Amino acid sequence: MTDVTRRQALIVAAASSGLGLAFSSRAAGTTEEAARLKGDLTPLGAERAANRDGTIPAWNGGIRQAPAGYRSGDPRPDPFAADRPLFTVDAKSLANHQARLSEGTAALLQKYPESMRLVVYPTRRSAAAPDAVYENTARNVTRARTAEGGLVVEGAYGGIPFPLPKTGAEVMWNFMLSWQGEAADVVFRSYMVTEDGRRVLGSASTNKLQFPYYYEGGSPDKFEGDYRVSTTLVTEPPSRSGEAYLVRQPLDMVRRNTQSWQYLPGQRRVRKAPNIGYDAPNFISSGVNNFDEIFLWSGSLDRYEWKLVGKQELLIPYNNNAFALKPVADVLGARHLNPDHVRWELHRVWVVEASLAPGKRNVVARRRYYLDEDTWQIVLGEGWDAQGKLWRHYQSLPTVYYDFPGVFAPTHTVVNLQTGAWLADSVFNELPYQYRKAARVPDTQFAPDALSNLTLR
Amino acid sequence: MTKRLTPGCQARRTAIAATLALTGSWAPAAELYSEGETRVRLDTTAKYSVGTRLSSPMPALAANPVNTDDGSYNFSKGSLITNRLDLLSELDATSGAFGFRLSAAAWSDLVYRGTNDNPGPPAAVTNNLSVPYNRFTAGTRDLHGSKAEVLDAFLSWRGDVAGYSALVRAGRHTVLFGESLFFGTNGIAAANAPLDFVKATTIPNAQAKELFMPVPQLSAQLQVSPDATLLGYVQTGFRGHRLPSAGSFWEPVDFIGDGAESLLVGPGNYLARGADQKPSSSGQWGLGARFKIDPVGELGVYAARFHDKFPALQAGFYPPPPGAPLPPPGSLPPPGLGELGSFSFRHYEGIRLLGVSLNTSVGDANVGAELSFRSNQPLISNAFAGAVAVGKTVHAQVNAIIPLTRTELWDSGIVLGEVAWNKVREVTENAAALDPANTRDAAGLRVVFQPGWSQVLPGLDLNVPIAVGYNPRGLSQAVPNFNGGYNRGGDWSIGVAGEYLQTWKFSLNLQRFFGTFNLVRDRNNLTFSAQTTF
Repeated sequence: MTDVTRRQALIVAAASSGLGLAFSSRAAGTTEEAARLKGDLTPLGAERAANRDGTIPAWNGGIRQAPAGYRSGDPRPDPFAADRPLFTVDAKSLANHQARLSEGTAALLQKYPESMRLVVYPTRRSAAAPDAVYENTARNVTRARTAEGGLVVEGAYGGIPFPLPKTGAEVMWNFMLSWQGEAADVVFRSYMVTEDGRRVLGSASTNKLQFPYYYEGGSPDKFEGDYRVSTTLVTEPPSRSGEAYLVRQPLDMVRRNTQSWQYLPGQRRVRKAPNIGYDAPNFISSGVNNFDEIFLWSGSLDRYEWKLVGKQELLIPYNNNAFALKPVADVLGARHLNPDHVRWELHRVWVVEASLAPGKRNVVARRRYYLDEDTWQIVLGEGWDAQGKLWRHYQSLPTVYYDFPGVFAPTHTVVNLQTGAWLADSVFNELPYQYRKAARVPDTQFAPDALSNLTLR
Repeated sequence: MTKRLTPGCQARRTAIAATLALTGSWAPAAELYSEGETRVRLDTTAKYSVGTRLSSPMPALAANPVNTDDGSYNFSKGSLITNRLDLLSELDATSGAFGFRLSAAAWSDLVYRGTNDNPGPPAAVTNNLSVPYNRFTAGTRDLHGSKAEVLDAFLSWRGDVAGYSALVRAGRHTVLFGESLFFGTNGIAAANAPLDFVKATTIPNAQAKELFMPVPQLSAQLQVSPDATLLGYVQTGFRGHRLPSAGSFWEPVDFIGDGAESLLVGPGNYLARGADQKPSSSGQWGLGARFKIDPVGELGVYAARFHDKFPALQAGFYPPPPGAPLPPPGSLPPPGLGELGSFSFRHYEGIRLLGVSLNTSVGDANVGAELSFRSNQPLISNAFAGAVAVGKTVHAQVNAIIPLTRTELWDSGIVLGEVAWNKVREVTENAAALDPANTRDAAGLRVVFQPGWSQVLPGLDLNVPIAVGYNPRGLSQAVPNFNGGYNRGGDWSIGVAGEYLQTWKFSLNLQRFFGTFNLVRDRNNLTFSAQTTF
């Protein structure tokens, strides 16, 4: 796939979302721009209309209603179970679809021609969010801005901060501050497959997750600075059972940066964890991904320069409710997810590229991320090593969480295209509940001393 | 670090792909029961440790070698110093707000079950009375060779008390105050819980959950705001430190521990082990408060009352029979008389402690610090003085946990370090009983530098811990065996440790001693351990 082909496929959106370089602080938007969120753009900033040949339909409000009798946390039945596939892409037919494949997806198809393919379904624009999120997003147009070269967000609350982004950093903040509910109880597992094909249960954990940035009835003045807080209790592997972590992520990554505390049964005390992030190997996956690749991107933006490349139509995983209904053994293949259980659709995505900032180091020297326009989730991406060789393939599984409502994509995979090792994280299959909507609890439960309450060890 | 596929790897991987469906298990390993709000899990860790001595016993390392040499002579160069299997089982049950935890450990060390290398008289005189010179006494054999015990056994409850989040525990468990990393006996935690020095010295890389021994107590924690927590406990039973027993490789001296039988006072003369004085099971409690102060960090303040977990030696000669002539003052008894007196241990009661601790981030590192003051603290005293010197002491320590960022040399890693200091501020009783060999102040440090590599081979993560401990001035009057009890001496070690498929852990460790005053300078050793949890 050449750069020329790629450029031909790029559709640069209207003037409000042109090219921009990172590390320029931007002033807030205009009321005319905010008005577009009721006009040609969806309330979260996507193009409302269908594409020219109708393969991407218009957005009509998404799915805001759970099926009758559905209880939050139960496996979520596939709202599009009746759909039939439109076509399949594999290594042989790759050339016909090159313009609509991410570089990493194409590489994966070519690396595993026997087993890998994309089963593509009709596009369904299911994304939605509560009205309060739409209202806050519209207000954010005129009140939100970045500072410190894109490393700090000010004035935003309760919605997408930059629905008409001007810079790559603003797009990444849209991902970090994307709507994933106000509070959730999560139990999940992460799996890792080694270079020589051995499957390892990296961890099983129970998570309590809250988004103070999305608390009902809040505002930028009342907001205290940490947009996401979570406690995690590790239950597997047995050697780690009883470890507990508290992570608080701030909007100000210059003065505060991510703060975490850990309770290790070995220490019998809660202790503030040393600041580990960036390209430190994630010990849970034995280094298959780094700390800044958790959820495909985590942490401070400061090591990279973020360039907003533009928008394009891309085949991405979408509406993957059926995936989580199956047994784990069925969905995890030998070298990648089982293609029979991954649903792909054509959508418009934002494209952001990251290259190392001057004087900064990261073992993943260059990255590209593709974000779904309707939800701002990172759906695909790739990473290159210092020699310029393709190294990482990132993928998530957007799923309709109609009980919130919203389309969230916590389940994700990172594939090392050079060694073949890969990991699947935030896998909910066969667990007692799946990302269950929770009642908000007081902030005392996200304080360091609350960690020793979580475990008897 | 990128990897290249080796030739032949490709074919192997295709074959593996076909069999992958059969490998790996999906279900959680040790959850016994899980229904609604009730969860029960049982985890067992099995560990095998083996070690060998690398240097020959050196005679006369101490001023009184005849009472400190058994542990050294019992193991010749090249002998196994440990050959031990440990099992630790942990049962955790939670149901809503209530929890129950029961843990138990059992171990068996073949090295202590049979004969040892002691050459016997005239080369070495042991302190054994009940067994020959080349066997371990019953007390040592049991403690080191084969034992099982219950560790934690407690109930817990968490809930709301007057709108505040509370956690209450009752039973045998461990509560720790302060921020000590390596120097637990110097810090505030010295008040809270006894340590198992047998496991600490015998098993490389033992975790604190096996080292701090639980005691029966009632403890509570009340979170009064997101930034402030109150803590407290009352202990209902006393437990002292578990020290390596007479004759074991790491014994501090020949007359301490469950298996100690005699204290030699001349050729053929000895003091016999008498009954120890047990301290009161009440009178030990602690109170604390922790505050989160942005951006400084976390501040803790503590007060505690406790009994000394180290035993204090008391020894005395029997009075001469009535009518017998008194021996001239300063003279030694003639040899070969046998039992001339007795010795026993007591634990001094009612030490009071006040302390503050701070935990903060400095750059990427996490830094902890403590300052504490004790009064009514027993000081290292002459055993024959008939009294124990007591005083006011001050203790301070600073530690850091520093992550290593990725470089060309390593993928990740950690540096742990702690510097500690203590000083006797004032001797309040029995100054004449002070042991003159020890100094009013003491300082020591311990650092571990541990770089690591992920996926060195598929599934294998490795790290190399390099550690050093050193006391520039270590004969503390306030803290027995401070950082190993060296003076202008210390120990260093280097090892290789790894984890395979996140299930198997192993470690190989070389340890050597050095320094001007170092009672264990001849105990250089190489140990290996492997463990898994299931």
